Parts: sequence; C-alpha cells; structure tokens
Amino acid sequence: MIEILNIFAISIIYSLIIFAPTSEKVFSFKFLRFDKISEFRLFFFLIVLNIIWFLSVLDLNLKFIISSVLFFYFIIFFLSLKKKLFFEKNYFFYLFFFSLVIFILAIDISHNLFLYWDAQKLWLPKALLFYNNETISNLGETEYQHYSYLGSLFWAFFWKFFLVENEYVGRIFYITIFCFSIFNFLELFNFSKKKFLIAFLFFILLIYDYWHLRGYQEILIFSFLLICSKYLFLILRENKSQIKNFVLFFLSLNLIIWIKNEGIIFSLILNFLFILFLNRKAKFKFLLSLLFISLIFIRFFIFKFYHLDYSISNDFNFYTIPQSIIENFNIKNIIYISKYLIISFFKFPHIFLSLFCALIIFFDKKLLRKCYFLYFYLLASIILIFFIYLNSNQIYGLDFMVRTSLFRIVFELSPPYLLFILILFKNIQLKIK
Amino acid sequence: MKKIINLIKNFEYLLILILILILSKNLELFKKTYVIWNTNVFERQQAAYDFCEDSGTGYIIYLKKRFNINSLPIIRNNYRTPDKSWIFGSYKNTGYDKNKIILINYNQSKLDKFEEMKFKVLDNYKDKCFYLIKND
Repeated sequence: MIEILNIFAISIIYSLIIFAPTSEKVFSFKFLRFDKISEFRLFFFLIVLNIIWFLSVLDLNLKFIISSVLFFYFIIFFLSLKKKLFFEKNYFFYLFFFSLVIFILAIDISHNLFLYWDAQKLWLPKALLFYNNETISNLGETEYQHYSYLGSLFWAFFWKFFLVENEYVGRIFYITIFCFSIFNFLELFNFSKKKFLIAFLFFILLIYDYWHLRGYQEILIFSFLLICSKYLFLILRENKSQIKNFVLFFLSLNLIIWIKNEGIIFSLILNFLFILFLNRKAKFKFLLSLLFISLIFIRFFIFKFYHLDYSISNDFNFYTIPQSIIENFNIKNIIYISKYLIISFFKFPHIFLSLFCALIIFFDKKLLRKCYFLYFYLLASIILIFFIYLNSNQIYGLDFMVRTSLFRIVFELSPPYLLFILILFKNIQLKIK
Repeated sequence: MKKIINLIKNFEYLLILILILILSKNLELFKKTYVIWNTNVFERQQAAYDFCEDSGTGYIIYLKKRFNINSLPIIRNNYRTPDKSWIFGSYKNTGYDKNKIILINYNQSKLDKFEEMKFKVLDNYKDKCFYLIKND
C-alpha cells in the first residue's frame, strides 16, 4: 500500500519537475526570448539536466549536486512568483494526464525489476558509484570506464533524491523523460487539447515497452534525440532558425554525447545535416560545426583530465578499421546485417509506421523535395549500422554483435524517422483544408 | 449538426478513456498494482530473475534478505554472468568479505575444498547453490 502511494507521489513530483510552475518572463534576453511557456519549460528542464552534468564534471558528489539543483529550483520558483506565476490554459488538465500516464508506466517498472546484462554490468554499477557519493574521478574503479555516464548519474540522482532505497525510482525518471519528449514532439502537430491527448496515448502505446527500461540507456538517447528532431524540423524544414531553437537543440545534444558513446557519432551525423541542409551562410555553418566539435572535444578532454580511458570503444581498434571492414565485407555478412535490420523495422511499430510514411512521401515529388534532410538521415543511419557491424572484432564475432545490439542501435537512431509521420500528416491536413 | 459535433466531442473523451484502458490492459496495470500491494521489493526482485539456474540472482537476493548480509561476499558461478556486487550495493568487484562465499551451479563434491578451508554450509539449495561462512 505504502509503495503504491510512493509511486503515485513520485509520478506527481516528476510531472511537476517537467511542468514546473514557472514563468517564461523570468528569463528574458534580447537574443534569447521564449514566447511560449512550453518552450521555456523545456529550456528550464534541459538547463537543470545540464547543471547536473556540469556539476558532476566539476568532480562534485551527488549530495552537493542535489542541494544545488534544489537551490536552483527555489530561485526560479521565487523569481516566477515575483513575476506572477503563469499557468497556461489547461495546465492542470495536462498535468493530471501526464502524471496518470507516468503512474501507469511506473507501476510496470516497479513490478518488473529485471535488469538486463549490460545494466547489471555497466550502468547500475556506475549509478551505484554516484549513489554512494563518489564522483567522476572514481569512475576508473568501475568496469568499462570509457563509457559515458550521464544516464547512470540521472538514475542515481533521482534514486537518492527521494530517499527511497529502491533503484527503480531512478528508472521512473527515464519514463518521465521519454513521455516528455513525446509530449514535446507532439506540439509540432498543433492538435487541440483532446486530440493532443489521443495522439500522446497513441504514441506511448506505439513505442513503450519494458524492453527499453531494463536499465539500458537507449531510451534516454531516444528521448533527447526526439527533442533534437523537433528543432531539426523547425530549423531545416520550417526555416525557423532563431537562436532559441539552436540553444534547445544543443542543450539536448550535449546530454546525448554524455549518455552513451554512440551519441558522439550521432552528433556527427546531425552536424552533417546542418552543413548540408541549413539555409544559412557558410560562416554560420562553420561556427555551428565548431560548436559540435567543441562539445565532443570537451567530452574527451574531461575523461582525459580525470585519467579515465577516453577511447570510444574497446571493441574497435581505430587503426584496424579498414582491415576489419575488408575482412567482414562479404555477401553473407551483408545479408545477415540486412536481415536483422529489416526485422528491427518490424519489431518497432513506430519505425514501421514512419518508414511507411517515408515511402508515401517518396512518391510525392513536391513533398519529397522538402524532406531530403530526412532521407539523408535515414541513409546515414543505415550506413552507420553497416559500418559499426562490419567493424566487429574477432573476439565477439559479427553475428553475436548483431544479435545482441542491432535492435537497440536502430531504436536509438529512430526518433528523426517520426518526422516522416509529422510531414505526411501536415500535408494531409493541408489538403483537407 | 450540433448534436453530431457534440457526439464527436464526446467521442474524443471516450477515445481517451479507451486508450487509457488499452494501455492499462497491455501493461496489466491492475494485476501489477495488486502484486505490488501484496509483496515487497525483495520478493519481486527475486521473482524477476532465475533462482538457482543460470545467474542465480534470485538465490543471492534471497540469501541477502534471509541472512541480512551487508558486506560483499565472494560469489562464484560456474555459468558466465555479470558481476553481482550490485545486489549488495557495491559498484566494484573488489573488497570482498572473504569469510562469506556464495556458490552457484556447484555440486556437493566440489564443496570438500571449501570444507577443508574451514567453511561451513549455512544454506544449501538442491545441492546446486550454497552459502558458506568461515568457522572461526
């Protein structure tokens, strides 16, 4: 009984963290102004997560980080009170439904406490390290020290925050981020209140599976990449290249880089998208690329600074990449990877639906012209998957690597595919009007 | 016309309710709520893993609760499995309490070695999984 009440309270508190009662007027600069409260909430939330990251990089322990974040929340809340708190229309309606969905999914997590192999081996030990008030400089005491750690830090942060001994409390926060990313993405559809909720529940039904929450980090990459996708769409397709959209994009991208090492490679793909498809001057693109590279450089620098292993992966040797590709490049391996790739498209309904929309858009020349960046991303992600697995080393073998991780990589790469659904939907909506 | 619009509006609420029910049914919300209500975290954690088959995680969780083990025992398993130090709240696989040993997927014949080292069996599950402590 008490545990159910705990889960219920946690669901409401997490929802309140997302729907923080703040005012966008608290933060208003000439170059960075938020017109909508929802935009400001996203900014505020991403800032909080980046503060957690930043303080961890300063080698501070979790107790200090929690106190600092709470202090930051109180300051913003206090300033918002001064500016008169702003509750937009339907605030409590959305808050109620958001908490309800989190509660339903949280019950699923707290019932099934199974953690999968890598979660037990990699991510939970890192979370335990932070939970025990150790810091980034102690990461060397864990296995796979070269792996990024931010997901484990979030896990530990919310586990400790609630003073509850159960590790799943931290994972419920993963659900919160996941739901919020969908919530945020759906704003692009411009639905009315009820239709918005129908779409929200539909996407949750389509994507959610406990498989994603076995302690793995892909759900976080998925969520933050979905946030990036929204701004990718606004910047590249709608030409809304205001500074605020770039800021929200990069705040989210920075988290991706620090959650999993694959995030570093994903950020390079997104950088290419900007270079190729952004409708701005070369100088601006150069500055953006510099920012991308700086974020990646900081990641490696910090690891080197704390004497941690800063290689991307111990399974790959960069000097033998061409040799590995030549060795593995044969029909049998290509068919094997393709087979699993196709299965993965069917395994995840949202990818299947997105690719179905992509197929329809492909035959509409007018629409296709506006979606080149998405097809480029689709192609780049497929090439990346082949590149990763053709590099498989002799220790594990290609078939083992494909069997155990291809589905996860396809899932974490999939958020921008959802833009195909959005674009087709908007086109149909326009035709009906 | 108004009636139709009202009907559609009500239908949207109905659809939200139906989707919530589908979500609840898919995730077996009521059954799981009942289970959480009637069990504690240890029991559910134990049930989530195999007991004494491959990883023996369920057995280790059972031992931790039954014998109130707070220090990290040496855990040996004849199967390949991720390190289980996390069950005892430890993030590193060092600093073991050498007076406590958990053996998974062992058999009685292999215990002789430990008995010679003055260990006594505190728990034996189907002659396959054991908990030993050193006799001082």
